[in-house]
Amino acid sequence: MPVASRVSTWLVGTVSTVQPVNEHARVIMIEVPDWPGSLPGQHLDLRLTAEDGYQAVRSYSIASFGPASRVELAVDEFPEGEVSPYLVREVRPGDLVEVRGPIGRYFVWSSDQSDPVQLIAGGSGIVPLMAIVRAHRAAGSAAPFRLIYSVRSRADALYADELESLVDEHFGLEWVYTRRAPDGAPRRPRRIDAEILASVVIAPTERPLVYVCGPTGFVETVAGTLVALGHEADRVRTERFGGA
Amino acid sequence: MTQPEPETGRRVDRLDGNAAGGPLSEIFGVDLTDAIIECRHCARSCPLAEVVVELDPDGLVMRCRGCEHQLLSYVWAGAVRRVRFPGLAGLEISED
Repeated sequence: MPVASRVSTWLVGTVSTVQPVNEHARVIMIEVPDWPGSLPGQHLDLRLTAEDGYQAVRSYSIASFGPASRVELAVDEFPEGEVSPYLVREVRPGDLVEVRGPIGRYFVWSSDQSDPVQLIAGGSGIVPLMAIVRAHRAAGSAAPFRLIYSVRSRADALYADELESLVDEHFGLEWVYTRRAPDGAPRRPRRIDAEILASVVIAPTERPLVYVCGPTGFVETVAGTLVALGHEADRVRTERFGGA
Repeated sequence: MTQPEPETGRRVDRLDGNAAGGPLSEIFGVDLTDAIIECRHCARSCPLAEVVVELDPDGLVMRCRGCEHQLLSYVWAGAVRRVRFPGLAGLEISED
């Protein structure tokens, strides 16, 4: 699928469905008639305009991929944010939003890649990695894939059931719980650290391509630790997000 | 991670070049996230997606992840958009 490097101007989209995930997150489908399609891992800019003309723009990763005009976002609320509380609590099917994209030619995965891939998500950093995992499955790719997903608790996770259902010989899933671990979890709750990364990440000798997405602090910790563990810095791709 | 901006108390997000893709396309017309940039101060080169980007509602600043020098600033608030290139030695853009 050709995806031009030219970024579209603002396009009008219509919210088609909203689905709560938990108390602070939901999955939002937006129908964008002129959407050019997206690659797994890309994001878009979303613009809201208030009645008084005030505008706010935020970037959101896209959980879907491919040529469809329906774009899937998963939004986690930052309580002090300006845009995410609206998207999680207020926006309804039929509401209009403006989007620009797709954006991102670096934090993307293509099904012609055969290298082992290690994905590492912190919180809603799972969203672009979800698109990559879905693309890996849709392509029937035999590239070895592993995902580490760090969440406060199981209830805070996005796409938990879908991820579990995708586990097979080519896709491994490792949960890291930071606040509350379910019964039977292999570790007590703790933040991701060098010991976890050393034991769970695909070994540096296999030269995995690593994608890390999460809040800035999470990404810096993980990327720095991976390089210290012997991963090549230019094979660790990162995407950071802030509070919005 | 969000950090208060001392003068105004506004939030400034310290992110990376992925977040600059949309705004910079307003000026350059293309998605530059995979362009290779070179820092004038320390000569480090890397994909634009990997540089530090400080983003607030009025604009963004790109900094070298190696030496923290400012590479580029883009302010879009107001009637005039202003782009400056204090430390950007070059940009390499590959064809598809």
